[in-house]
Amino acid sequence: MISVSNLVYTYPKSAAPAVDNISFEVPQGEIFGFLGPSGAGKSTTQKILIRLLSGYRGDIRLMGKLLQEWDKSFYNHIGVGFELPNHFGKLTALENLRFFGAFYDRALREPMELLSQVGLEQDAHKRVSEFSKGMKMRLNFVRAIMHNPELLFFDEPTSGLDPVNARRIKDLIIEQRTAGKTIFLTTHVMHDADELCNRIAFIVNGKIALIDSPKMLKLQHGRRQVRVEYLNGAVREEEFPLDGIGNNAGFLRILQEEDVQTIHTEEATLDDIFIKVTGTSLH
Amino acid sequence: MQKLLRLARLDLRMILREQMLWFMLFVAPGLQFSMALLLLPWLEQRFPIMTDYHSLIVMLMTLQVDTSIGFVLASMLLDERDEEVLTALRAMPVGVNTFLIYRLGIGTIMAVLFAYAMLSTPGLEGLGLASRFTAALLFASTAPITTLALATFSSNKVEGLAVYKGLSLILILPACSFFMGSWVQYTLGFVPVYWSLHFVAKVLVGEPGGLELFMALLTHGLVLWILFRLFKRRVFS
Repeated sequence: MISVSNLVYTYPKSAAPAVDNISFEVPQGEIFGFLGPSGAGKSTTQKILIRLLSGYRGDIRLMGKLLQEWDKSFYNHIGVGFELPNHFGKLTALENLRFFGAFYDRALREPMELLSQVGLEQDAHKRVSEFSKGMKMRLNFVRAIMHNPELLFFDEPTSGLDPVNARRIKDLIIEQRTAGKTIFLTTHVMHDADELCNRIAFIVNGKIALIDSPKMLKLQHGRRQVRVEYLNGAVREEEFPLDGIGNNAGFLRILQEEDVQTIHTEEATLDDIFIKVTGTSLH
Repeated sequence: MQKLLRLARLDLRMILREQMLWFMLFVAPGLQFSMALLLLPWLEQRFPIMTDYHSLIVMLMTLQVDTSIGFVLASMLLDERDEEVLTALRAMPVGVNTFLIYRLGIGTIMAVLFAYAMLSTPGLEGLGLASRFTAALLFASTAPITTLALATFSSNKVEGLAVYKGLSLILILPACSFFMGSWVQYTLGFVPVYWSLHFVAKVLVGEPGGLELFMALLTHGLVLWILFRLFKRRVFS
């Protein structure tokens, strides 16, 4: 669905490239996470992919066609959820959807139904200028999917959302994948990436440092250990090798004799891996 | 067409939801038209010397009407820039160029209608249908010029208002040419309005005004083209 080969982009008046010779492929039906700290090149890559930036080097194919061969109809096939809300403040949520919807040459999903999916049905007739950032972000999301595009780009889709609404949006993103849509997700929230993405790429200083599935990365970079916390006067903690854990006498004794509080395997978090691989923090 | 009507309806709603905008788009032009129709003839009766300047006064009032339409559209564009809506529009099948042309087109059509109405008031019968329409089109071109100039050279509505005042002064400056010597007046020819005013003045005295019309089209087109490019560079780069 997305094929990027040797992509290089340098902003005018800048000596160093913002995106430096990156390559990746995203098959249909995958959520691909693009992770990196601010200024790493995430948004630049997304802007190139959605044709907001030109003058790049390298080959980009989207939906089987070279990016430069697409005309304006390209935007009928993609949906973009921008990092910052961008709506007409003087129009209501519903009017905004009708306004933007008027530009598409394909059937639109029922706006009220979509607003209800993101918990905005009661606010459909409220002016967007009265919305909180979280409400605007949810409206951003609805606008991105209202024309039922095959390829979706989301930039920090849960930014500014409370946990309930962040959950809603994440569920809807998963629903889009289930419906066969391909999703390019730009974020620096590792937890979201871990939960949503089939594969992730770490980008630092314009270069991709690593691409794999979150599961594989966590296994590859984690310690094969089990940590047990139990109460014995005070909270105590012990670690055991994961290999042969079923026959580990110490581990079995704790399970049988102690008041066990928690048991965790010691796979790495994406944050840990990011720091390990890139030598820099995400935040 | 249906889509255009839908967009125009939503645009109208946005205008009606802001007092300053609907005042400048509907009330101010209505007042100007009433003044040209009723107040000006009454004043001319009381102060006959004004009769010599009737056409010039009506033309300046027309300019005022058309620039106020441009101001309304510029205010909308400034809001849209602040709200990052123009970025969202760049990721739509319509393209931001088409959207801008639609916006400027709507403004120009309204400006032509207002200008035509103003130039149809008593005292300008000598214009004739074709010349009146041509003149209305030329005066209406100040609407998109105002829109683009304000949206390019100001960052918000307050700055926009200041730029509007400055631009209005520049646009009425060519009126001074009617009180200047024969060659000195051409120094004001860099303002496109100069050629529109002189085109109407020529037609009203029965001269063809072909050169003035050509220069008006050329200068308006040039200024519009430059402003359109500047606006796009300012907003999208």
